[in-house]
Amino acid sequence: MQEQQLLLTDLMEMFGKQIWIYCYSVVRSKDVADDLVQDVFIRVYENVGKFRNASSVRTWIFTIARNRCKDYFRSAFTRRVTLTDKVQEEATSESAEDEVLKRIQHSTLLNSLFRLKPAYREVVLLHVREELTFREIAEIVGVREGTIRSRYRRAIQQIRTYFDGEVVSDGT
Amino acid sequence: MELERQLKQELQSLPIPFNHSNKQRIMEATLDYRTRRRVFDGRKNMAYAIGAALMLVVTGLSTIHYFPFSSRTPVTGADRSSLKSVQSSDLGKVKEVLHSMPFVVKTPTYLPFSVIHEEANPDPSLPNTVVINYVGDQKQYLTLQVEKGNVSFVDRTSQDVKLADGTTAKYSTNSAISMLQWSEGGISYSIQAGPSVTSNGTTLPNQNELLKVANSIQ
Repeated sequence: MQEQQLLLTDLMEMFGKQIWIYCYSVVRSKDVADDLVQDVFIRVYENVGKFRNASSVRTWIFTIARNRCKDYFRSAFTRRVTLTDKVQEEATSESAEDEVLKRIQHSTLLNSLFRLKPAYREVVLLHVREELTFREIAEIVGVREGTIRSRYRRAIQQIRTYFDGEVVSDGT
Repeated sequence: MELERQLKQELQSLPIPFNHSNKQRIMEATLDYRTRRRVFDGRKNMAYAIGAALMLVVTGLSTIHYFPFSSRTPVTGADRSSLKSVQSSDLGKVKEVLHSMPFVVKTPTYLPFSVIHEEANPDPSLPNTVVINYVGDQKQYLTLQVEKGNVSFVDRTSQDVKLADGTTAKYSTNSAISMLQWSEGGISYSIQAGPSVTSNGTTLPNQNELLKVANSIQ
């Protein structure tokens, strides 16, 4: 196996799950997330020689993932795909791979996260789960660090509002 | 902070279905991409070479000095001085590019046609790769792509052929291009040759011609 493929294997090992959950959190479809992750790593493979350490590898890969998700929505828009139907369909499936969907459905907190606008959701995911700094997220998203901080603050406020509302309505 | 801590815990405990089969699928897709990329590169190089040939025709054949060797004599090798009198600026650039590569780039001493133009460029999309184009006097072209590293050539339409030193190479052809690819000593080679156009029609270099080119690389 050539050097480049070994490198790709390592990168998939290190970042595969992170990229999958990021793509999933944006598109909210397991099949689409699978395809997007594949596309992301093909791009990584294709461009790994051009990577010049201007950013960290992780930031670079997340930037590719974000661009692929954006591209997906562009094409999805033209195909008039409605993701909500797909999410409903997958959520009722019993396969082991749909465990992630069930967890999200059954967790008030995760549900609150997934009710956020994508721009807020990605900031929370990247900062809370992936532990990326606001500066790194700003680099990935292509906006100022201050904007990311502000999005994060609002996102957490909204999650708290949703979460508290759900908990109150459940009577717990 | 408590909410964020709880959120982090729940997000990190999510069972993410990115497993071995995903990785396998991606590896297969990259191999497929590699093959498609090589076919694409072949076509792209052919387009460049035809463009270069046409440009030479447009800018005036009278200014072009043909290489003083027949179609069966070496184009490179012991006596490269003959080339210098022909396209010294281009040859200078070719040498410069080849010497700038981080590995030794060997070139063929035999080509199946008389060369009127030679150029070398690092491939901007592939690391440690150089592409050398040879254009013939009848608009033939031959592209040699040399890359550091052992490339797995996956092409179901190709057939295995042996080089003189016993190395196995993959030969494939269609109506537009003949291709020979192999890896040797940590370096991968891909020869793509286009047709010569004569009054009798077009002729592609056959398997034996490409093998001669490959065996002359030194």
